Amino acid sequence: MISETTDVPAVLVQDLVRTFTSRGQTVHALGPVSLEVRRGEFIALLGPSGCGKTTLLNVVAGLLAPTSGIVEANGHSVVGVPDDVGMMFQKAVMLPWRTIVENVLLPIEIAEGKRAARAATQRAIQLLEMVGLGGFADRMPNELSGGMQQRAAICRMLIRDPELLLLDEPFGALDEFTREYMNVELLKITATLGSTALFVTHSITEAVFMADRVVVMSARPGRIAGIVDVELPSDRDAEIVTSEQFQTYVRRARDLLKVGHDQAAGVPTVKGASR
Amino acid sequence: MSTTRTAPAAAGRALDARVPALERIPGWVLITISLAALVGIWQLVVSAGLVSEFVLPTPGDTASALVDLSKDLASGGQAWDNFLVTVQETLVGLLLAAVIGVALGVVIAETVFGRKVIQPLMIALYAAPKVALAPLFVTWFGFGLTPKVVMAATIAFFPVMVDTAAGLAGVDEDQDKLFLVTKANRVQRFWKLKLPTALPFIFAGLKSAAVLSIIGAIVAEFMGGGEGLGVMVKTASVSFALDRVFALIVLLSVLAFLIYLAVDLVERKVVHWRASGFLPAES
Repeated sequence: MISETTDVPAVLVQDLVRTFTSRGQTVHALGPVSLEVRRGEFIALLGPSGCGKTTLLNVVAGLLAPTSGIVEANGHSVVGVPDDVGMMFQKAVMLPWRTIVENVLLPIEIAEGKRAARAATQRAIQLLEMVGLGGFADRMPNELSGGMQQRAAICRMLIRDPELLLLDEPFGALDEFTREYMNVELLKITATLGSTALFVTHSITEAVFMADRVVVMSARPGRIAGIVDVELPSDRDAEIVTSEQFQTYVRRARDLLKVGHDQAAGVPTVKGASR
Repeated sequence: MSTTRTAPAAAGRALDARVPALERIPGWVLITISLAALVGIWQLVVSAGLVSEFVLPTPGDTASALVDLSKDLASGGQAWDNFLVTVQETLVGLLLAAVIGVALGVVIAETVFGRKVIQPLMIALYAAPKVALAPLFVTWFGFGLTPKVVMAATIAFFPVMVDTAAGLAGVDEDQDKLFLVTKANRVQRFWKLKLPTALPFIFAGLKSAAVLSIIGAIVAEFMGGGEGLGVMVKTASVSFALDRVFALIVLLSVLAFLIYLAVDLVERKVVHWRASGFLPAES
């Protein structure tokens, strides 16, 4: 929407630290973390549970304030939820009292009112057709399977043409087959739209499959253990997983995860030193 | 081949055998048998002279009193007029309870003043035996419909208020996050998220209110007199026409049940996305 010079990063995170305080105890959840996301880049945030990857995502989404450090989206400091952000969660989070198409139109209805939402119905149906839900626009969410609801959630995320997609383990609750299928679909969509995406996952293969860069995070306090540049063609399909090159990236990410884990656990990283 | 095919069926029968016998009899049959047994015991107790017929009328007497009452109702006689009065008191009381209950519930859930001031006051009032207010209402509002309606509403609005406040506070965390990310304002969050979330709770409160409002109306009729089924119960009672009292109690129960069902029906229309309520929903 706002034209920016291309050298302004889509997301800029500098020395970000986030702590939580509960019952007088301060937990150091994240950081310091620094990361620059280029426009159109697909970033996977990979790490074990509790490594602060969701915290990082929520700070970028403006849902959490940084304890210290800088967070910018499109060159503007993130204070509250930025405009043109689309988000997906682990669950589809459909409102059960609305039809599927009404759910997809919710972001427009909230931002621009009911009339604008009604005017955008065609666009919503196009999106639903794109994810194979063309015939389900007027169904209620509880009539659809979890995977179908999650596809509708993709449409809801995209309905306002967001520049930045924030995905918090979006297919984590789905079975392996559906998940793989959804990943391929999502990748196609983001490639077509050229969207910038931050994708949180704890699956190594999923991270490598989806991302241009895999940001590997260490256990609490979450820090960046390393970044794997994935140089695979952008039109990836499920078969690529078996390729030599893909496995190399997976191994690299796995090694970084191990380093991150050992560091967090206080184990010396020199191989064999502790055994 | 045939053995492999019958094996699962046999296993199924074995599983069936473990289901308790009562589980396999339809509910309505059990209810009918239980009721018949109860009436039988009732008849026996009176016939055996364990309890004087003067104190406890026989089922037969009660049934014929019920028939008389039904005829009176159907012919639009005195019972019908009294019936209409009580229905009117109950429904207007319920409507008032709904409006006041929802309004106060919203104020408690949505405002600091409501949470800090109104809520504690209401809890204190909740603990008070509200039936004791009936004579006061009669003194204030006389012998017409007003004291009965006020009494019905006073007793009935509490569950609506409590459930409305609880429902509005019970928003799903993920849905809340979705509304934060879509930058919804307070008003939008209320109408598009909180209120739909609260609706099933509000209806649960309304169902309690339906039953309570008829109690309120009858209690006020006992105190204030005038017209109504409660007045008829009192009159029949002091003239020792206990069979008539029993028949009137049956009529009042049916009335309460019908109002309850009406609320349930409205709930099914309004909260269409959720299968709940008294009657089993078609799956």
